[in-house]
Amino acid sequence: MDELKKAKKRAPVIASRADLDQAITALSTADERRMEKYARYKIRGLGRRARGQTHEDLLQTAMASIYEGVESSDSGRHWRKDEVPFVPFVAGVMRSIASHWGGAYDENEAATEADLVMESDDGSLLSPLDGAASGIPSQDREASAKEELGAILRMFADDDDAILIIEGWGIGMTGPEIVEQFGMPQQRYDAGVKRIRYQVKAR
Amino acid sequence: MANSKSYEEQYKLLMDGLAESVLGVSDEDINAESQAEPTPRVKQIFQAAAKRHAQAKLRQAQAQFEEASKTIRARAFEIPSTVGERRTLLDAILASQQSFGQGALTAQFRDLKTVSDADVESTLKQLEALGVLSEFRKKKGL
Repeated sequence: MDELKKAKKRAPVIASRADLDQAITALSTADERRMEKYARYKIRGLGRRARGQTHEDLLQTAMASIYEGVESSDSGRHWRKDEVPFVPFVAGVMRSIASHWGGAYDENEAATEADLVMESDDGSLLSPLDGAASGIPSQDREASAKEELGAILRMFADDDDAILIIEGWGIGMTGPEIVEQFGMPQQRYDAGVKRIRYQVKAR
Repeated sequence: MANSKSYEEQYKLLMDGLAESVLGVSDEDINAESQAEPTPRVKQIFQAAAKRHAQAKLRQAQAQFEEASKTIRARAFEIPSTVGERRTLLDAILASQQSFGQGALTAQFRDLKTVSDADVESTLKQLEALGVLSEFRKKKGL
């Protein structure tokens, strides 16, 4: 019991440069595929908000940040190698960077809109963006996303489980929540997700 | 199912769901799903990122060194004008450093006779830039 307490109190081991080099060398082809697909789906999800950055940029930026963390305690990302395996850690870093990229795009767009707002003769404020509140996607981005979503849903017109999963994800539900709240057995959920992945490629 | 989120947000969430699903797939399944795809380049990308990061750090260190050298070069130094006086001054500083147990500096100049005049001059300039020379002068009332 004391040993357990001591272990809990022990400071986390931050990976060294050699640890990182070793972890990269040890990646299996399956691990590489996982991370590549992860990056591709994240970039695909960002759409125009990725500002032309590719999945390779996302992978590269994540790794640069992890190497930065090796050399600095106050910048970059720190891999606590005894707590998190390498692949989920890198995925977490990519998740955070992608979220930052999306947020930065929205903030910039909101700022641009604020710059465009003019005062009319009667003192009221006029926006050339139809008075849309900041952060609401522009009409063409929204139209493009609607089209893509529609195309995906049509692929699964005869697949109720896949439709349920897509709709569940679309309202922000996680896998376990879909399984529990829709009463879908885990095996059916896994099989449905696999069918979606086969059709909706991580391009 | 009613959804108050924008289509763009729904699309992003769908892609996020697919991304997260990939992390839980078995090796066998992920390889089977990717049979028709080109060999992944993730290792190469990571190794290139590591190399670029190391090069950037090196460039940063070089720039800092250049900046420090420029500062030293640009400074007006108050050091003796003759070679003999410079050697005497450095000798005196080294002796005082040794008396404070700061052997690291004196170890490099154990035999001052073998050190070139240029090195004596540059060492005095560096010591002045570090404040050691002025401190020494203050102590000695020079």
